[in-house]
Amino acid sequence: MHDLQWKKIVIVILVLLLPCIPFGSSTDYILRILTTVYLYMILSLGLNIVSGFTGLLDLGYVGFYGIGAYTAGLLTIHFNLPFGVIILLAAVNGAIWGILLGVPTLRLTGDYFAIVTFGFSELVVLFIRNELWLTRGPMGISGIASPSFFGHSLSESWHFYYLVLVLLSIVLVIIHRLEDSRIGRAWYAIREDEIAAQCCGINLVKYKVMAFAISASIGAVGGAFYAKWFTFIHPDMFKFWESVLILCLIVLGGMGSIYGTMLGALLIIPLSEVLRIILPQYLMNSRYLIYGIILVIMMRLRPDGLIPFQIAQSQKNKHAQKRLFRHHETYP
Amino acid sequence: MKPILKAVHLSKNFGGLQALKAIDLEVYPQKIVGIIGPNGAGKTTLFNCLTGLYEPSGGQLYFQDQPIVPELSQHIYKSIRIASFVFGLISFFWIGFVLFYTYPQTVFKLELCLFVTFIFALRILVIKYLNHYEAWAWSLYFMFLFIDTYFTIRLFLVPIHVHALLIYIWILSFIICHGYVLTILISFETRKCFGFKMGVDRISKMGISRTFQNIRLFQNLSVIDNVKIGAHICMNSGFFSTMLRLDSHVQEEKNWEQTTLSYLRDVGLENQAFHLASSLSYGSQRLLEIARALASKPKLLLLDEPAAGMNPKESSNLISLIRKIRDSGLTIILIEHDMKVMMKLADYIYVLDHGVLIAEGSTDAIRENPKVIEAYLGPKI
Amino acid sequence: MVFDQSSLLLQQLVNGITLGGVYALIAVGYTMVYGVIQLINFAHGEIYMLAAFVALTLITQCHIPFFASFFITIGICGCLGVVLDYIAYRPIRKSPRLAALITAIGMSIFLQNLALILWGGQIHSFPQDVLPKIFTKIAINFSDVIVTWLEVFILCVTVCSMFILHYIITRTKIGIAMRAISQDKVTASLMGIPVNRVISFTFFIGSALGGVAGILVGIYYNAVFPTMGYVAGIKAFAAAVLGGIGSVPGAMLGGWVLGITEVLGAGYFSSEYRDGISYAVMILVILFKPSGLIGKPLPQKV
Repeated sequence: MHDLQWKKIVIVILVLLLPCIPFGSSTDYILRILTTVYLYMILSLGLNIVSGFTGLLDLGYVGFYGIGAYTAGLLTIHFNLPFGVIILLAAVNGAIWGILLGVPTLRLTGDYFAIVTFGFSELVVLFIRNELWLTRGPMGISGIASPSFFGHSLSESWHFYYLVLVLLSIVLVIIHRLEDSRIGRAWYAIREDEIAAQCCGINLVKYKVMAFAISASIGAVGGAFYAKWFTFIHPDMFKFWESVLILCLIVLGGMGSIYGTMLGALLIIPLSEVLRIILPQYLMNSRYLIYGIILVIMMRLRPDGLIPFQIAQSQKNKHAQKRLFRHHETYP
Repeated sequence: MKPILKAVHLSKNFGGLQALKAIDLEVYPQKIVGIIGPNGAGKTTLFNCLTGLYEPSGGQLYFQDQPIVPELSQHIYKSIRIASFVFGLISFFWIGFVLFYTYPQTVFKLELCLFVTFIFALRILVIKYLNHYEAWAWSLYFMFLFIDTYFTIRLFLVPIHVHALLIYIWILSFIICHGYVLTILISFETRKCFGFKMGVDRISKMGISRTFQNIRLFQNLSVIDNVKIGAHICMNSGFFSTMLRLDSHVQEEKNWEQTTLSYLRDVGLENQAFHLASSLSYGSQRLLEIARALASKPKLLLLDEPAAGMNPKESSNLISLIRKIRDSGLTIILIEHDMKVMMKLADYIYVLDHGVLIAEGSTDAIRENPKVIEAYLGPKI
Repeated sequence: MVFDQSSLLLQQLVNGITLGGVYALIAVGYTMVYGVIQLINFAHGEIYMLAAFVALTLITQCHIPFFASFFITIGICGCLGVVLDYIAYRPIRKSPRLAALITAIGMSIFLQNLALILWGGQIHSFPQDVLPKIFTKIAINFSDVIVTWLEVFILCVTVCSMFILHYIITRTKIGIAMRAISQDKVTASLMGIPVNRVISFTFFIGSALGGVAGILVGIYYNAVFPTMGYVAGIKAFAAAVLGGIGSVPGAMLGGWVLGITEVLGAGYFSSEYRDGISYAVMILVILFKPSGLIGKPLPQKV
């Protein structure tokens, strides 16, 4: 009972504290970093559904991120729709492409799946770069209007901080609910053993496609937020290395565990900001070197990540046991 | 009484090897039917055919008078194959006709032809490959047919120069990709509706559930989650009710928590309900597999060597468990090497050897059968 | 008119064959490693890139003549492959395949950014005076189809490498050991084959061939930059898949088919989507015929 209460207290403190950060003495810079951290938490939570829960290594996640960003950017520029509508449309568009990619790749597993998703994301970038009539190609889309609510346009850093916090909470709640349900269990079953899962009556097609669609739409939501926040998008922002970065987050944190992936984002994104300060200008892009090293070292020393899936599961089980114990005195 | 499961001339080939040769089985409700035979006799293959993991090469299976093997499948296969090649040829000549007689001044003639040939080779390859998935191929042909007709008609109507022709080729190849994706989208459910493919999950929804010879648990999940996954088809909360945590979803989860615990109580694993499945002992893992199979509320339970690796005490517990399951109204088919267990449990026994049914009958009849003794011990010297 | 067009086609075919040979060289490295330890060695493309940089450094900084530095670079690249195997892949040989794949991606990023730090991000080029003069001269000029000596050289080197490789795999003891390991690692070790040493040798050969390709491309396009290995690596992987991954003749065939397809596609279809063509080919092959052109029927796995 004790650690359960402690955990609750910590969560409550965090929930109360996080929104207060902008009121403290923190600068814009820190707020920006935190916003990036939350954004990457959203992305890694999304990737975690396919790679962690369902067990398929998705190297093309950034494709959906890009699709979301460009959906938001183009819709803002051409139609100037309200933010809520844009987020919804981006999510739907992401889901559509997730399904389009998911259905043909269903039969693939392991390496080949990874390669096909990789090829997909590269094709997305090529398309964005070359179809000038739609995306303005290498010029990028600039001057995307900031989201506005009730006539107030968001401009300060803390506005975006709260916006991404809200998005993150929504995503977190959705994933939490899905994980501990019939759908989440079906995903786990597919990851653990596809044949046994089928024999338990799980429709592989349906659940894999569902995982793909949800993951892609979360990625697209992240992209839409990014476009609205940064007000400028460019094809180079959605290159393969971004996928590797997100992969790195969930590998570091622990594939399949929700808090692990969030921890990964919390550790790596500020690290890369620190590197950005430390490293001289011309070496800026070489901070990816660190991500490479992290991937290699994690795979060698702790392939299950900092918070392995099994530990997250046994925590959850302990709680469930306690809950049942409270209700039923007969339970041993 | 009507048999709950009936196999008629069931056979399965792997390349040249005939794993099952025209097996006839009849299983009556609320009976325990044993299947025995030496290693490699085809027992597990039979189970895999029953649960849809393998598609039988011939014969038919009836579960409660409903055919398990889709009957359309074999029938349509041939005609689709013929249609695919005829269609491939027709569309090839059609494009050739359009290219050579409509635009004789085409500059990139040679290359264009090479390109079109390439595209059509690709198409035929795709169609040929998809032959294993009838409905996909079926829809794909219509898609190709539609595209070709539509665009050629459009090309006849609109004044065209070379540039537009290139665009046409481009669109064509692009739409092939889209057509492919769309077709799959449209057809992956229809495939099952029309019975083109067996679909393992469809069979388990009919009420056949099984355990595996080499344990296939979800090792990194807790014991209770394993059983809940077994109950997957009995639950019906979908994406939205889960996401919005509707009352029905919450209620269902609560009810099933109790039900799964009661299944675990039946097999005696309630105390370990919240341990990881991988932490259980070998015998307990076998019991957990049975609990998982029971959770889907099947009518027919297939047990593949449930007593393997159990000590005498555990296997006597298992015997009483299996009897209890039978008494609760299920039919059981049992594969077992442990003859003591088999003789105590089975009401009726089938003996397989090299994919052939060599004997059937009650336990006593099988024990005396010279053919069975020969299969196990070799011919008399 | 027709004449012009066909000569253009021929010219493109010549370019395609040159490029395809290079792809084939890299693809062989992928396919050999995959055959032996079932790992997609993502870092292979980076070795190809490093080869170009090493050759460039040797020639311009150390003033070693072209052919000498050519062979030194090949040796260095081979050793680099062995080191890569030793530090990155050997410790995780028994872990799941996804772990190995993630490690390979990590190594790839690491090497690419290492090159970025060491040599900077700009495009380097070989100074013309250090290369043999004959490379730029025209070897064959047949009705407007121009083939330079460089292209002849590339083709010769490619074909020679292939023959040497074929000899090693089919005739020598270590080649037979490789094939044995690709069939079954455990049994091979029971037969007294030093598995780790043979795998190292496989990495050596594969990386050396990748190195050859790197230098050839470096002087062919006269552009060396840190991200060159990424695209070429993926294209070579596409070639390996196209030919049937795990089969060496398949990789050679796949390389040439892909090279010609790409050049023709870029010429007549859309030069913007030049890279996209290889990605598309790769995806289509994986989806529809994962065994490749000559994957299963000719199981000469290495």
